[in-house]
Amino acid sequence: MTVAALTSGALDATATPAEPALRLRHLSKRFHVRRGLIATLRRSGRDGWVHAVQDVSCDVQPGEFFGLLGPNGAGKTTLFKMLATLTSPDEGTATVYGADVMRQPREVRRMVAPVAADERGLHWRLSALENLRLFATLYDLRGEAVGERIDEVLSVVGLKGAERRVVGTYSSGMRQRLLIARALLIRPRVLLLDEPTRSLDPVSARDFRNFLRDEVVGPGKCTVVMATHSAEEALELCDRVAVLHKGRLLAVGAARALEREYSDERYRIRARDAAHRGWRILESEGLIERRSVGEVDADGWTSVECHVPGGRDAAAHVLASLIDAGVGVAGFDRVELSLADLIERIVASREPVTAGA
Amino acid sequence: MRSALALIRVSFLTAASYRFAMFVSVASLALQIVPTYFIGRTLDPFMAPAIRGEGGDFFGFLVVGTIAYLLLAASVDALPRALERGISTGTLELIFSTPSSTGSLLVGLTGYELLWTATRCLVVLAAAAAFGFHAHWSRVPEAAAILALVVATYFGVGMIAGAMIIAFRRTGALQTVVIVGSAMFGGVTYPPALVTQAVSRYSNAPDWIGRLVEIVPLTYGLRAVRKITIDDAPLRAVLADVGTLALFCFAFLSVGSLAISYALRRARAEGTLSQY
Repeated sequence: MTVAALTSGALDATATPAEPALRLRHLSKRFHVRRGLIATLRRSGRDGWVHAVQDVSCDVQPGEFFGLLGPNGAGKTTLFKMLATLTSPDEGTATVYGADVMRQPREVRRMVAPVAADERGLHWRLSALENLRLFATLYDLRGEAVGERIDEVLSVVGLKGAERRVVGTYSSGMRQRLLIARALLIRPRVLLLDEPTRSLDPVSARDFRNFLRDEVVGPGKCTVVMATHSAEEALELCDRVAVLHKGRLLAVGAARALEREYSDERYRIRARDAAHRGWRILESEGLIERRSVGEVDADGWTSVECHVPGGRDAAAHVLASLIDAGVGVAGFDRVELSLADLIERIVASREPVTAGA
Repeated sequence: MRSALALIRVSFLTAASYRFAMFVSVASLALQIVPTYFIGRTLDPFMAPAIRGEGGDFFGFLVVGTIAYLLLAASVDALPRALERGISTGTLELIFSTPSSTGSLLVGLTGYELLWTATRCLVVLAAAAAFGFHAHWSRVPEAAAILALVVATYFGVGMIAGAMIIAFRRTGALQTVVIVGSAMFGGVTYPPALVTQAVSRYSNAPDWIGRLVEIVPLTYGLRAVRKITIDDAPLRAVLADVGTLALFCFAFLSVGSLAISYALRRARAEGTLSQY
């Protein structure tokens, strides 16, 4: 049994086939900054509000794996809470398969399963089985099929056999899986994952990503929206990502496409002689720029980084020129942009996206 | 209703995982009846004239008062404590993100505490019976119905306290004032008439203190229960008290419901439903 069956709940009769899974239009939320009396008097007249989400508009399609990127305080969690009906928007609308989060919160709650970043929210003195039974009832799942479904989700998340153990004795990874199992239990049409691997070690995080890729993501399965700070998650799992900064949506697109768009054609070259005159020739001809020379390693090779304007054709020309000039070259790689660099560059360069993406 | 029962079950399983605490809670209540018995019997000759209208038996008077006090304290405390616990463990946010109705969630969060208190009351009653407490047992269902009205009334106060927890994370001294005030002026250990008499004896005490007994719902509930169980009074003899209690119940539950509804709306607007 895979999650495909577990996440393909009955279609909402009110939703039209073309209805996006999520439709956000000019969604805004601000919070009042609470201050003590002295701070209020000192800073009287200044804006006492923090804008957590500002004028966010975008669509997420059914079955899409959508990533939310951004520094801390970007507004990711607030956006999740609005979609889970736990926080009400100040302005704008958000619909889940056509159901408005403000006007039809109970319909939305039947379709959306939020998974929090931490392991709170579980009853630690009870077994996994009891935790799942409770939520099955709270979501009004009935009949003998409930037991079967609990078995299925436990198998999917790899907790079968440990279901009678008290949750307090679980490892962080097991508790994270149980939170996912609880979310899958209701056959959600939209799964909201808020930094799901934050408390996992690297191996568990990798296993968890594999689990998401193999069991949760894919055509006919549920729509997933995931807030993450992990480059692996953004690049490996997400069909598209959105970059949020100070509550504003700065960019939406495929992670690799954004990476290509914002990378600056920087290359790392492993060369035998970093002082060779061939480098200066390339610089004088404008084929390379901003050259920086690293340390010489034990084998006598030097790492040279430089900017190569003109894309991959120009890079091939530079490589050929170096070899023709007699420079020994052992490696020629494009420097991958880290997620932090990507976010930083988008934040630095982009004006907010205001139209629906 | 299924949601409420599921939450009650979870609370029971959690409490049952602390077996020793559960045992101590019951045993201490059963033992508490020993000093109550001796105090009741010792003071009976002095108190009997004052409680003539409520059975005239001071030990019985104390037993009924103790039971009502246990129920009153649980009714006021159960919801704010459950909400506080839910906020600190993160379970509150999750149960409020389910399609279950707010009413069933609130009943579920408090149901176990109230049922457990009712069980403890039965323990007190059984221990008191072993010490010679004579009640008109056939009237217990009527008394239980009146006590249920007391619980509902004070649950309204608990809802106001719960709303304060959701909105401010603090209740101030609300629960303490209500519980202690009701115990002092509602006739848990002495008849409310004594308060009025004591105030009139001391000329410098303001009159309104004596009238406090009239605005304490427990006064009416306890008087009715005692008349029925100890004095075997007919139902019509307590109708006025029950009617007044019902009015209090309606008022407190209405205000409590509005307060909870407002607090949840405010918490959703401010994004503080899960902040701890």
